[in-house]
Amino acid sequence: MAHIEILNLEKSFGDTRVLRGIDLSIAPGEFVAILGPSGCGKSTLLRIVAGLETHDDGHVLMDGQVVDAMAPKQRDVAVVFQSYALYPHMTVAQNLSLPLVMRDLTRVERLPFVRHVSGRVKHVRKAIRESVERAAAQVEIASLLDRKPRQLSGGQRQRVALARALIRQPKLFLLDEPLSNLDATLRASTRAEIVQLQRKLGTTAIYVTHDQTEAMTMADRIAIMIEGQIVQIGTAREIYHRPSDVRAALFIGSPKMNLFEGVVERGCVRLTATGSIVARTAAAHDGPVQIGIRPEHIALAAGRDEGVPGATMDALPVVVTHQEFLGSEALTHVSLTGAQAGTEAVVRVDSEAIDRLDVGQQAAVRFHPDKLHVFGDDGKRLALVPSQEPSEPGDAIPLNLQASDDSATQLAGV
Amino acid sequence: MTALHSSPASDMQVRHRAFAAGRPKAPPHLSNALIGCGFVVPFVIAFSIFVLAPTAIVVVMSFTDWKLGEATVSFAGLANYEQLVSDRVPRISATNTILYALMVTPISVMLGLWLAVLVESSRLGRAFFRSACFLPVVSTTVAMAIVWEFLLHPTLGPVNSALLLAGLPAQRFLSDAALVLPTLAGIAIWENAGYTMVLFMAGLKSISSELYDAAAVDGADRPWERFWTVTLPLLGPTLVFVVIIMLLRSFRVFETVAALTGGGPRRASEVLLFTIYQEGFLFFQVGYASAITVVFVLFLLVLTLVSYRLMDRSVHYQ
Repeated sequence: MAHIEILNLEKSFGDTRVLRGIDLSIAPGEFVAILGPSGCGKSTLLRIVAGLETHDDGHVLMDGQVVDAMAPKQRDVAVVFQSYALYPHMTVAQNLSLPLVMRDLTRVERLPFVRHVSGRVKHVRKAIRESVERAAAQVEIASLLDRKPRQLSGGQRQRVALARALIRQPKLFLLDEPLSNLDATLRASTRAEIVQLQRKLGTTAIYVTHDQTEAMTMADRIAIMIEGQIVQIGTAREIYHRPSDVRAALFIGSPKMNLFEGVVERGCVRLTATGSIVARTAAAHDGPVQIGIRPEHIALAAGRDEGVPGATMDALPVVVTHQEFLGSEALTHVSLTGAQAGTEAVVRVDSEAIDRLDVGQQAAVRFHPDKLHVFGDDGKRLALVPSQEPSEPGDAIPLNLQASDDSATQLAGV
Repeated sequence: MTALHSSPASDMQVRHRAFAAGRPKAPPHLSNALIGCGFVVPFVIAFSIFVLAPTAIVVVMSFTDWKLGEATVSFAGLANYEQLVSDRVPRISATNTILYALMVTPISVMLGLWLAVLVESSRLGRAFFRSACFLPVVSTTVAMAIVWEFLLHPTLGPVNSALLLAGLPAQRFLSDAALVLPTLAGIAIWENAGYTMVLFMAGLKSISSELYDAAAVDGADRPWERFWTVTLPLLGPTLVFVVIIMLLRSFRVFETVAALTGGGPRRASEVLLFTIYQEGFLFFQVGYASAITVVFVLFLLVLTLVSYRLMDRSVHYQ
């Protein structure tokens, strides 16, 4: 268990700034996922924490101690690599024992014949063998100890890599997309096992991934990393419901958040497609904004004039372009038809609802007013003012017609 | 004209019909086999003409008393082989060749491996060192031999001048019976190290850098530990290949001997290929030369198989 602090970390490869002032604090025993698209610098960050890569500026602290100049083995970290990085010429048992052999035996004691001469070496070797068996049992690979990695399946190799990481009981686990080479079923079950193992051992863990499902299901907290910067840190819920940056909003959630063009004028957020005011903000500056709404917070009605009672006049006219049936739910892809024609949006609907709509059909969508996210020109979230009373009554539209009803299916007009 | 016009069309129809009719008769695996044969046949023809037939002819000639230029040839049974056993020269040249190979192979391999790891780990001038080390491989051996002859000249050569400057006695590298074989081996090592280096560099490229990272995290981060834990085991297949190639190359030594020593002094640098060349093309004893060749080839074959088996057992393949 270690308390990890990363302070203003900078790293460039040539002219490319890979990390731009990373700040991250990880509590002892915490499981933090670093989530970001490929090339965002998340693996570089992990390698710097491991000591496998140097950094240009900033500090890495473990339990309050600066470890910038320490070699990986001195930092007492364990890494699970994406390719597992098992030594192909060694058996599983040898792979697992290597970290202990390197730590517990001197250079001379490591020579193959010394165990027959020195009692201490014999004793240490025995202890190592026991640790190997214990670690193997923990990840259920006890029967594979004498095999070579090439004789193992992907899932088994992954377990060996995990066992090699935990055998030394390190202060920190670093996992670099460890599940990306597994098939979907195995990935789901291994996800749960890794989390259980980490909880049981109580070891601090940093988990790098580009898969939002992994990050959301496994981690205590997620750090969204984009273009070398952490744009938001928080629990999965926090990031999903209150994304602080449009990039974080787009990265979390599947299908991703719908974005519409809008503009702020004297505190009012106006949807460009209809010209109507959808929210109020305390933001001082007027200018263009992006209005985001998750697919499940949009109501879809067939035909321009049907739909949620009392809100038809402000519905966004759309045409259905594509439908996806997913069993428990369905996704309807629509394209705006009026002003801003061509803007695409995805609506999460009841799986029965898609039978009522056909591709090419005219329809209308409305947004849940409390579920809107407004992002400024710089991509940062703008704070919204509770929307009961628009500042310009003559210009605005009642936003929460069904505010008394809590049901998510009851939506207000735009 | 009309006939000319109509005939291609009808030809096409006939062919099309034949094709359509023929298709169900030829199952796909048969046509695949035919295509496969098509690919193999050119090799088989070339291999037969350039390797198989000459080998067979040499084997046949080794049982005759044919002399180069003579019109008559008669069966000599095992006479050539009996001569081979009783003759002193082939024995000397075989001993010399083996000694030479024992010097050249291990040192070329180790030096090449050392150079490869060294050049690969240096950031600066990698391309320069790579080319510099490979230069002896691409230059003509005979031309280089002449340069070496000058360098090692007993009185005019810079090597001896350097020895004298250092207060050491001058050496007759190429005319001292005790020195000539090590000297020739030295030239071969100079030539081969660049070659083995390039082969090892290719092997090093295939080692995943994540393995070195894993080794560093596991505590094997000193250069020797990295070398023993990751580099050497993963270079195993390359090592087997390089050792065998080097053995074969060093057993085939000829150019430097022919250009620099002519087998001398007093047969101290007489090697097998040079003996075969002398017997066949200077003394015209083609039958006898063929017998030596046959034994030589069989020896190389056995050597290759044995060394391959020995090394292969302890090597990991991915």
